Amino acid sequence: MSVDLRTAPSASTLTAPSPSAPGAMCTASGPAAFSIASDGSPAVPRLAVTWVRGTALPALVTAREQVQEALDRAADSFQGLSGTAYAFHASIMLRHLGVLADGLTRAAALFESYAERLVAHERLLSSVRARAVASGFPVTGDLVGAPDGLADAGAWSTMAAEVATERQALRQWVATHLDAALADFLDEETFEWVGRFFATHHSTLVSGALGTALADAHLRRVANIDRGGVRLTARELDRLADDASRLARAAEAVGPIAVAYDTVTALESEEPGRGMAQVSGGVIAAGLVLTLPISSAVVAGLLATGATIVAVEGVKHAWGELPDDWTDTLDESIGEGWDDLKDATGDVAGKVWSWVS
Amino acid sequence: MSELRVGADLEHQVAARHHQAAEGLDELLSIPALGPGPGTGSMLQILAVLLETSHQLAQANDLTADAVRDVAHVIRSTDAQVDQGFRAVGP
Repeated sequence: MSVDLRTAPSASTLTAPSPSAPGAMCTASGPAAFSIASDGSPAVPRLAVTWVRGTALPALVTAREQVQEALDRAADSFQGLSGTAYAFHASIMLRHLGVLADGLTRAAALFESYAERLVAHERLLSSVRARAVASGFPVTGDLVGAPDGLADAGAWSTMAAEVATERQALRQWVATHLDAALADFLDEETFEWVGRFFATHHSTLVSGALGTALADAHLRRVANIDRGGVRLTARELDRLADDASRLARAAEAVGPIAVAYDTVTALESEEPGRGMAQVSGGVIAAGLVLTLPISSAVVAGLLATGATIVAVEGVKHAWGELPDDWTDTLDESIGEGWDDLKDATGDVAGKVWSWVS
Repeated sequence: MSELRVGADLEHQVAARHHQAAEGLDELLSIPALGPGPGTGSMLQILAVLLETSHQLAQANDLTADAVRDVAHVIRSTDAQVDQGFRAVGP
């Protein structure tokens, strides 16, 4: 009787391995045979190496070239803060593609070393086979049968133990070199960057719609104030309409969630007129930077925020130069308009406020 | 603030290349079938991680292309609005 132990010779559920010959198949009367079949072919990792080097890496190189060409073309045709933001974004993209190329290169090298390890594995098994045949042990296929006489049992057990040790060493090598290396290929930075890029883009879409809705509601409120006979000068009405218009433009051109957040914050503040002016001014200034939904903290921090701060500070200064009665009236009218708007819309805006705050 | 200028070929030359890059990166998702072995599972896991990264970057390239087109559209729309504004107050 013989059992093919190729898949798991040392963990066979059919028999218990002999202490003197780990990996050997045992019977009630003692060990019967051990397998010298290879646990794995080096052709498998070599196929992966060939695919990585012959298909994946060339495709990645082509993709990098296309992004680089896009960046080069943009240098001529895409200027201004948006162009700068794009160039920064594309440069980060190139860096992440480079990291991916490095990962593929390392994977190919690792798979190659695995192939070499399997070559050594096969070489040892071939050596055992040759010695078993030379010793006169019965070799049938990939099984080395036990000798009939006790005289050769020691040599047979040594070979079986050698094979079992090799199989265990191969598994250990896989655990140490392949399994443990998996974490090294996880590119958290790229995942995080892409995730932020997607989140920003989706926020842009969502807040664009929200900003437009707020602006439309504000415009309607302006019309209601007019119809309701509230005494506002034409200039004040124009200013309110202009605020709404700027919100609408900002929502269309930029639409970051910050617009809606800052708008609601401004409307809820003690000086809603001043806040709205700052939001509108800041948004428009940052708009050209944020039109491209770059998620980079550097771009957001240096360009958009910088432009926003400059604009907001400018609005603050301009607001401070206005007559107090004018700003008070605007604060009051916008604040009342916002409160009425919340009532009229079933406090939906208030819920938005509670959600974003 | 630097000069704002958008060339006519922005969408075709820039956005299109990002789309092409995305297509190339997504082609990597078809890996060869690997035979059995003690390390095959680990190799597939490593490849899966790398290909997931590739797929993510492909999507980012697609999104970049869309964003570039949006920028061109917004800037041209703004330019047209400014033009209309000047014409409206002109003689």
